[in-house]
Order: sequence, then C-alpha cells, then structure tokens
Amino acid sequence: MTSSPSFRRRRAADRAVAALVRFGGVGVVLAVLFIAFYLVREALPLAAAPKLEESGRRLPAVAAPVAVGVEDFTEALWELHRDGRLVLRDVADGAELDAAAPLALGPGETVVEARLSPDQATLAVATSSGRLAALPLAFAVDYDDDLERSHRLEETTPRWLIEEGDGPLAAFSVLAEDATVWGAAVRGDGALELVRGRIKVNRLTGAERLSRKVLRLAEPGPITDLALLEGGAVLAGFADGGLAAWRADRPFNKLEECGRTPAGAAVRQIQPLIGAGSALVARADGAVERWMMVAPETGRPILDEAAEMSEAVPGLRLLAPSTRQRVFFALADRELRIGHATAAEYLAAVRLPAGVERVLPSPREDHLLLIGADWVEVRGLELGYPGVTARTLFARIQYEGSPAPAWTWQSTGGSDAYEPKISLVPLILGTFKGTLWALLPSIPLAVLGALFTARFLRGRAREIVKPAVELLAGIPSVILGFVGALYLAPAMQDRMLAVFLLPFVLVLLTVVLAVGWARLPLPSRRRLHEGWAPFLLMAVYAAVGAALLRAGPGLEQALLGAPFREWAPAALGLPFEQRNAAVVGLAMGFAVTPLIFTLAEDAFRNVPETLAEASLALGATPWQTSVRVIFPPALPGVVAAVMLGLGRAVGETMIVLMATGNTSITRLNIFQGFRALSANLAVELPEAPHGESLYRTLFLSALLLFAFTFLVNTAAETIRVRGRKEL
Amino acid sequence: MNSASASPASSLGGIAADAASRRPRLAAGDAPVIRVRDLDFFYGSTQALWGVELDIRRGEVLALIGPSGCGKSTFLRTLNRMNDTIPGTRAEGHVLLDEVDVNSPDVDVVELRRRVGMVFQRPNPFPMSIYDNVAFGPRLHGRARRAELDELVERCLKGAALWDEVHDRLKASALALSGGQQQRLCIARALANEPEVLLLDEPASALDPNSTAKIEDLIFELRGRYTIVIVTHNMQQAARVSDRTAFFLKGRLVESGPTEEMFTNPTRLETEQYITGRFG
Ligand SMILES: Nc1ncnc2c1ncn2[C@@H]1O[C@H](COP(=O)(O)OP(=O)(O)O)[C@@H](O)[C@H]1O
Ligand SMILES: [Mg+2]
Repeated sequence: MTSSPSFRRRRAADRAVAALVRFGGVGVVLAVLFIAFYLVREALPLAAAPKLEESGRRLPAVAAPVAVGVEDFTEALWELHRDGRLVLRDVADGAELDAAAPLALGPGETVVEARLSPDQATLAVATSSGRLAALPLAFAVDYDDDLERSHRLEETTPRWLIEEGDGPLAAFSVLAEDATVWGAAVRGDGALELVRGRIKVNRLTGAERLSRKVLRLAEPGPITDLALLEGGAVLAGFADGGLAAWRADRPFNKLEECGRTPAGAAVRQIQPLIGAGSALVARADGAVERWMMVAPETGRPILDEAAEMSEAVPGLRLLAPSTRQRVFFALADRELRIGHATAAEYLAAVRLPAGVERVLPSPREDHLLLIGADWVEVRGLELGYPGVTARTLFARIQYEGSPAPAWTWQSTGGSDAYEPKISLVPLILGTFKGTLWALLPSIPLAVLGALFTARFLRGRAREIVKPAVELLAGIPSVILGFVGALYLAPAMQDRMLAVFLLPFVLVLLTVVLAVGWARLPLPSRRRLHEGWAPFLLMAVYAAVGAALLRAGPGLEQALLGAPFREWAPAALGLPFEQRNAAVVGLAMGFAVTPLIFTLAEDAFRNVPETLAEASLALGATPWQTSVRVIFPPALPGVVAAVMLGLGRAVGETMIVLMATGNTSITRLNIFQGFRALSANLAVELPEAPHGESLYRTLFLSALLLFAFTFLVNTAAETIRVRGRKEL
Repeated sequence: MNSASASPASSLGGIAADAASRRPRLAAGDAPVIRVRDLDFFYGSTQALWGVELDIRRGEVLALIGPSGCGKSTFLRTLNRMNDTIPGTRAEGHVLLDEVDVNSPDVDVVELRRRVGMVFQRPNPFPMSIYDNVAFGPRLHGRARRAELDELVERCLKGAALWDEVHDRLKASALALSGGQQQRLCIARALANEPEVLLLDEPASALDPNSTAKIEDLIFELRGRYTIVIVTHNMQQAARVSDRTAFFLKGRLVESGPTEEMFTNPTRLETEQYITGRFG
C-alpha cells in the first residue's frame, strides 16, 4: 500500500512544496541579511580613526627654508628661501626641478616669515623690512609620451599689500577672496593695519593692478597673533589671553571693534580654517577654541566662541589646518593630535620622532609632512571620515555663521569650503513628525472602523467594505504624493480651520444622529439596519463635510478675522507653510489607514463569535461586548496592526518627498514641513559622491531606518503570534 | 397545554416590578412563567418554527427533545431574543414572560437577558480569570462592590458545584479548566445574574460521560430554585433530569407533558417513534 503510485506522487508533491517553501523562507531571510550586511559594510568605515604611517621617507638635508610644502601629487616639494627664491625639488631624490624668484626683494631684504593659507594656494610673505605680500602658489604638470609626470613652477606675481616697510611685522595674515586680497598686520610701530587690495585688470593690456585701501588703529594692544576671517574681519589675540575682533565699517573709513573677550591663558596662535569662516585659537595651556564671526538677527556680525575642543593638548606648540575639511593637526612635544573643529574633539594621537618643528598636510590630505630644522619627512595619511562623529551626527553644533548651536542637516553647500552639517536629528525628528501626524488620525479611524466592520456591520455591506478599503491600500504612494502636493496642499491652505474642525463636527453629528436614530419607530429602524444605515450615514457625512470645507475660507475670516495661515503665525506663533505635516498626515493616512484597518479587522473578526454570544446572553449591550469581550483578546492583533502602520509610515518615501518642502527643521509644528530620513535618502543619495563622507553618512541613516522598521515589524509580528496563541 | 387558567396572581407582576424583587425560592408548580402563543419564526424567508404553543412553569425543568434541525435551539433562543443577533430574523406570535411580550418595543433586552440566562452547547468562558468570568454579569449590571462580588462569586461557584475545584485559583485563567469545568463555570456565570429562567442548549453534548454526569447532578440540584429549559439529544438525560418534556418535529411542537407520561405513554405516534429510537 505504501508504494502505490498515487501515494508516491503525493509524497513527491509534498516534498517539492516543502522544499519550495523552505527555499522561499530561507531566501527572504538571506535577502534581509544581505541588505543589512550591505548597509553595515558601507557605513562601517565611518567608525575608523585617522591613521598616519609609522615611518616615512626622509628627504636629504636642505638649507633651512622659510616655508615648505608639496604640490597635489606629493611628488615635488617646494621651498621658499630667505632670499626670496622659490625652489621645486623631487620628493624622491631631492633633485632640483625648477626655481624662480618671484618676490623681487630689495637690496639686503630677506623673507623672515611665510604663512600658508589653509587651501595652500596663497603664501603670506613678510620681509625683514616689514613689507607684506600675498604670493599665489601654482604648479604645472607636464606629461611626456609615457605619461610620466614632471613638475615645474607656474609663473606667479606677488601682490604687495604693505609696500613701505618700517621694521619687521609683529604679526600678519593674508586672505585671498575672489577679486579682493586682504592683509592685516601689526606694523613695526605697533599699529594694527587692515589693507584691502582690489585686483583691477586693465582690459587693453591685461595687466593687473592692486588698488589698496588701508585702515589703521594706532594702539591695538600687545597682539601676539592675528588672523583674517571671511570678509576681512581681523581676529587678534593678546599676550594676556584676551581676544578682539575688528571690521572695516561700510564706507571703509575706520576699523570698528566687533567683540572683545576677557583675559585668559596667553594666545599662541590664531589659525583660520578652510574658507576662513572660523579660526582656531591655540592657548599656552594647550586649550584650543573655535571662534567665528556671527551675524545676529539684526546688526553687524560679532565675535562668538563656537566650541572648545573636548580636551587640552599638553605641550601644544602649533596648529596646522587641513586643506579640504575642518580637520587640524595639533603638534605637541613628540606627539601629534588629529582633531576636527566641527566635532570639537580629537580623533587620533600619534607619537612623533624628535625634532619635528612643523607639520603640514599635502593638498590632497593623503600625506603629512613632518618638518624638522633641516629635513622633511613624508608620511602617508588616511584621514577616513573625521567629520562624521557621534557629536556631528547627534549633538547640537554651532556651525559657521549661525548664532547658536543647533541640529542641522545641510550636507552640501555652494563652495568647497562649505562646512557640512550632517546632524541626523532633524531627519529622525522629521520621520517621527510625519509618522505622528499620519498615525494620529489614522489609528482611531482605522481601529474603530475595523471594529465596526467586523462586529457591527451586517449583510452584504460588510463584504463590500473590506475589499474596498484594501483597494485603497493599493494606491501607489507616488500618486498620493502628488495628489497631496498639487491638490491637498493648496486646497488645505485655504481651509485649515475647517479641516481641523471636521473630525469634531463629524463626531458631534454622529452623536446627534444616534439620538435621533433611537427615536425612530422600530420597523423603519429594522429596515434600515439591514446593512444600509452605514451608507446613509456616509452620505450624510459627505454632505456635511463638503459643506464645512466649502465654508472653510469664509469661516476663517468670520471666526479669526484673517485667513488661518496668517492667523496661526501671529496668534499661535506657529509658522505656516503650504506643504506641511498636516498635508502629509492626510496623504499618508490614505496609505496607513487601510493597512491598519485590514489587520485590525482580522484581529477583531478572529475573536470567536461564541464569546460575543456569551456576553450578549449575559445582558451586555453590543458596545459593552465590544469593549469588554472583543477588544481584550483582539488587542495584540490591533497593536501589531498599528505597529505595522507605524513601520509603513516611517519608511514611506514618495509621499513625504512630494508633499513636504523637505526642509530639515526640528519643530513638530504641524503647519510646517519636515525632511524625513527616507526622503532625504531619495534626494541626496544619487548626488552623493561615491565613498565619501556624505555617501557613508547616508548609508548610516539608511541603516538606522532599516533597523527601526525591522524592529517595529518584528515586534509587531511577535505580538501578533503571541496574541494568537493565547486565544 | 392547560396553563392559562392556572396562573396565580402573585407571579404576574410586570417585568420591571419583578426585576426589582429578589427571586423567591420556588416549588415546581403549575404557574407558567413563560407562555408561548402561536409562535412562528423566520430566518429571512425560511420558516423555522410553526405555531408553537407552550407553557413553561415556574420552577420546573422542561426538556426539549426532537431530531436535530427541528428548531429546538431556535425556540430556546426566542425566549431571550438571542435570535436578534442574527440578521434577517423575525418572530411572529407571542412569547410572554410574566404576561409581558418579550418582543414588544418597550422591553429592555438587557433586562430580559439578565432574567433569562443561557448556557450554550460548547463551553465558552471568556479569556479572563475564573473570578472575572463569574463577575462579568454583575459588573455589567452595576454591581461592582468588592465584598459583594466576592460573596456572589463564591455562592455561584458553589451553586454550580465548581467551588471545591477552583476556590484556590480564582485568579487563574478560565481557559486552563477542563471542558466539563468550563461548562460548569458558564453555568455559574449565568447564575451570577440571578436569573429566573435558565436556558441550557445541549449543555453536556460536547463533554465526556463523567462531566456529563456532573452537569446532570447540577441540574438536579438547581431544580426548583430556577425554571430550567434544557435542550437535549439524550433520552435518558431528559428522563433523568426533567419534570416535563416537549417534543419538536420539523419546526412544530408535537406534544408536551410530564416526562414520565411522555416516555411511557406518548399520545402521538411520532413521539413514540422518536423516543424508541426509530428516527432522529
Ligand atoms: N442562523 C441560521 N440561519 C438560517 N437558518 C438557520 C439558522 N440557524 C438554524 N437554522 C435553521 O433552522 C432550523 C432549526 O435549527 P435549530 O433550531 O438549530 O435546530 P436544532 O437545535 O433543533 O437542531 C434548521 O432547519 C436550521 O437549518
Ligand atoms: Mg441545536
């Protein structure tokens, strides 16, 4: 009997189905694992600390230059010598490649000090006679037939900002902006001078001329160092540790003080960061602070401290900024710290050999030069993703130009010097804001609707309602998104008050109708109750709702004396935007409500009819039966339904992308938009350069989103399964 | 069917008046508590009961017998209007509980069901504790004082012969009880409403013989204190527990009378055939 053909056929089919099911299940699990693995793999490099090679190539001894650096490829080393000569040498063997003397110094005049701008494009040169020049640095690359590179100096002309010297400068700084070159210096006589040089090009000859204007402050105090910030603001530090800032007034007539701080540990160095939007102040006690000019709501910019590095560096000697980001290198006695100014913390510490006097990153930040008295060592450098730390992702940070610390997401800006703002907090908050305003109306609507459909609706009506609602769940979210953006948003803008009143009016209407219903004679009640009463009710709802919405704008005028969108900001202090969370809540409600509804309906329907019967037979009203008998066993299923709705709302992309303005704000105000994690990914991932900070940060946010929806869905499923077991 | 003339005045109070007073202890007697007159019942357009006329006397145990599908359950459920919960049903004729028609518009169905309790074929305890199951009815009807409830729960569990088995685990889930215990719990739950009439629809048919015997003992215990209408498929059971028996066939009441007479000397041929097991 066991070997009958039909038995064998059945057994084979059974096994095939079992294998298929197992394959499907394992496949799904593998797919989920793969996605998680992929996200983790792309985000994980963010956690790596910056690395500096243990040892490097040391160049043959050179006659101590004033300034040293490398070109883009770290293949050629440039030196500026005291006599004003610029020499280019091969990093590999020290052989001289090129030389020039662009400075044309006077007789007996020497270069005493030179400072390199953070982008390494301009060298500020101070001479023994007290003159100051901005010397643009540029290198040319030639390729021969074998594509071998050779390097030479590009021709360059110094822009003299101080032409008449009166003794060596005590401190100086140069800042090259588009067509303006700024210079600031403490002159031989102790006066502070701000020089604005405008580059004028003669259209006929092509010759450049610098048109200079100078402002002078006779007795600024004992300045130890100074730096020029964006727009020509001068930030100076004093021997007593105080700081002061000045700017030229509008018609460029005098220097105006715009901030002064009390004394503290002596200021050693003031180092502008890339873009000169802020500067690091190094003090004698090893503390490093970040200062910037901040524009208050009204009035002129003032000096403000943005942050202090998390710890002091003992024996701090010198700071060097990186060329492309707000990373800096803090050189101490035999130790190097690599820090990030935005994050306000140090990310790595490295032991150094003796005799390192200065450090300088290569233009591409892939090497670090350790500069001794008569040697230069080139070491490989891997910064990783120093701008992405727990602090920059989650803490309030005062970014350049903003008056106070804030959570901000604004990953890219106009220029290379833009400070990326990558706080995930506004995105997470945005996601929850969208979810909150979508679920708030959806949950009661879906759950009560499900209870009504499962337990009160009778006859054919019940067979129509559920499939109809499920059909609604199938609307592609991109359609909901553009309906929200193009229809709901403008329509709701004019009748926000009516939209908010609508649920209350309908509830009130229901109560009134219920009382009226109880007064109807029994036979007509019976006849209506055979499934048609709800549809009649819906027609009444539709009519009343339409009337209310139609009266909306007039209602606002009559009740508030102004359109709601003007009244809310004035009376409630809530800014109003057309594409706001209320629009999203409504549009997303179309996606979330049917989902919660169907699952909750199943949960209510799964409660055995015999329980309801027992309750009714004990004299419970249908309402008491629902609350005391139907609801408790259905609760796990309902909670699971709500959580799946939550998971859907959290992951929803198209609707929030289209129906909000996608501004990343941190307010729960329903009348403003938001930017959700999902929409942010959709907007920014295609544009993010592969493998860079933003790209990986976006993967981190994707991982967060994935983890959250995964947890919510798993919890929902667990609750549901456990609830089913208990019945 | 000799009921109408024999109603003592004392039992004829209106529903409201009677609800307020506590149920007196009754002796099986002739006074009908329910009188059914010319009752037709319809599921939509199909008629399930045809002209049923029956008196149910205060304090008696009435057994309803008949082949399955003959309308016993339908009839039972017209007595407390449980059929209202099925859409499209309609009753015509009169079901008079203490002379008040239960189908009249001013009857409060909640109060009706409190006075006419019901126990179903399959035990259907709520997924709550034993205590909460029994206390369910009293809480619905506004009796929530702790001490009073405790006393009531104990009395009902004792009344349903379950107290000894569960008194030490009142807070445990009712679903952990055996089928027979669950059914007795359902009886206790119905008793907690202090009903006058108790409707039992094949209360033992889903149970093992041991549990069935306990239920039968319990019904025996309850006789005289409650008016009991029990549907049963089991002739021996009807013979053992009931004072009177009514025989239904194809939606009609064929005959009713004292159980002994019905079983020994039925007046109708169909009754005899059914009782002797020739069909059913
Ligand atoms: N919910 C219902 N809808 C339609 N017909 C029903 C329903 N319940 C019972 N009936 C019909 O009514 C008749 C009596 O059923 P019922 O009272 O359950 O019989 P019994 O309890 O004697 O076995 C049967 O023909 C049955 O098919
Ligand atoms: Mg039946």
